[in-house]
Amino acid sequence: METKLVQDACLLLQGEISPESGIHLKLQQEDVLPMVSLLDQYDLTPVRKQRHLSIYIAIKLALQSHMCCDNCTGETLTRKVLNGDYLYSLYVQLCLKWEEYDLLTHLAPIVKRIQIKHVEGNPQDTLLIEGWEWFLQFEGNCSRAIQAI
Amino acid sequence: MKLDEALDISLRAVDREIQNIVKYDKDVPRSSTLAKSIIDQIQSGGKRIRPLMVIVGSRFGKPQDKRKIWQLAAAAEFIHAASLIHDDIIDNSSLRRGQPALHVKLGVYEALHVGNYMSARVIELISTYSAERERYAYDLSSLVTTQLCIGEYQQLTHLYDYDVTIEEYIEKSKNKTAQLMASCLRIGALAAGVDEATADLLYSFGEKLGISFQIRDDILDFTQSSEKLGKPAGSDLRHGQVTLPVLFALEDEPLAPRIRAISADTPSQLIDPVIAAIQQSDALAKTEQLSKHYLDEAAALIDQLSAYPAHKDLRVLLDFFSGRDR
Repeated sequence: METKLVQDACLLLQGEISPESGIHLKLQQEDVLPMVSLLDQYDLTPVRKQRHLSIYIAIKLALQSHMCCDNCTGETLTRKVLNGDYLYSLYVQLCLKWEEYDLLTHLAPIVKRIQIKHVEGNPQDTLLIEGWEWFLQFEGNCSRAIQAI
Repeated sequence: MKLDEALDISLRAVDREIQNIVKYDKDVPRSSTLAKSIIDQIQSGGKRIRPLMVIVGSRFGKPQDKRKIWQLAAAAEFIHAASLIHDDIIDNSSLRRGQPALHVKLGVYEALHVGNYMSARVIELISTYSAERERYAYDLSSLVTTQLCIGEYQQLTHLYDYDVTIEEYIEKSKNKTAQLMASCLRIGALAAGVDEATADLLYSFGEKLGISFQIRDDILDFTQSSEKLGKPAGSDLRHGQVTLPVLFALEDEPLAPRIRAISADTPSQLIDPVIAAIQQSDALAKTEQLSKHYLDEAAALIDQLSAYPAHKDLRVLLDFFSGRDR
């Protein structure tokens, strides 16, 4: 695993998170490994790789935060709900800040479908990484087509 | 006269547009629990203040695409409704508009993700229609919702904190309530081609209305009957929320130590007489005064916008916010 990429992405994301949220990123290797492997396959600049990974982590942690709300009460429940909500809106903010408009347009329906699957009781969070791969492939194809022209 | 009638906006048309957001989502079968839950939620009513504010904002310009304005208006209500679903989970409120709250009907996990769906659907719609990178439209799904969470975090951090300042209270109220209302006016205006300076004035107007709205809400928590509130009077303080009436009551020297003694472990029967003392103190009048101060500031902004015929709609909004149930 590209430890430096993960560290840099976490630092970048933590820097964007408001201290008032009290969110401190804690990641398991398996949370980011699929995305790191995916990014490795594409010719993105190091800065863009970091940004994509940061956005991915924000969505992934938002999903996880809401995933385990069922058995919580009181302040723990409140924090989990708020952290998820905050990270979902932060991912949009980051896409806008880093001018990843096409990525946002591509991710929006995927994140929505993930929510639908959760309501249906049939979570399919792998849709996120699959959708991301599709985006990177599409973007790569476009840039190759432009070069060919 | 009702707000929608005074503004000459069909509430049925607004509601239809809100329902269309889910009805025309090809990923959601119409007979699904998700679609039904959202339609039920919409049909349970509401004044639709936020969509009306988007439409009022648009009246300051010449909208090229009226459909877009209505979609934005509906999106604003969707964001608000999603936040209410999550608020009810956080506050453990069992009722919403007299009906069982969504988390009571579906369970916390499912309701939470219904709220998430609503927010995500708005991002999808905006990203589809904002091909021209109209970033202001995204404010609904990024800036506003982030600040809404920050307001909630601030509230959580200051539970039973009797040293919170009025400035901190106002800041929290801006984040929790006022920003969405302010953004509704601004987004409506920008979507109708209004210049930034005018849109910013409308934002300021909406922000002042929103702060006054939140202050009034905090007064109602002390003045309305428990039947009307659906919870005991002074419920905010009972849950550790130090609102503006409490901050003013803390200026009353004999009353202050009784308030400061309230903690998460204090039994309700010991809180009752403190609530009664706050109700009888001059704290509510002082709070009312500050609410009026924000409404006066909003009124002054209307004067600055008097060149626009639509300024009369701001007066309607002002009158509505001034006259909320006391």
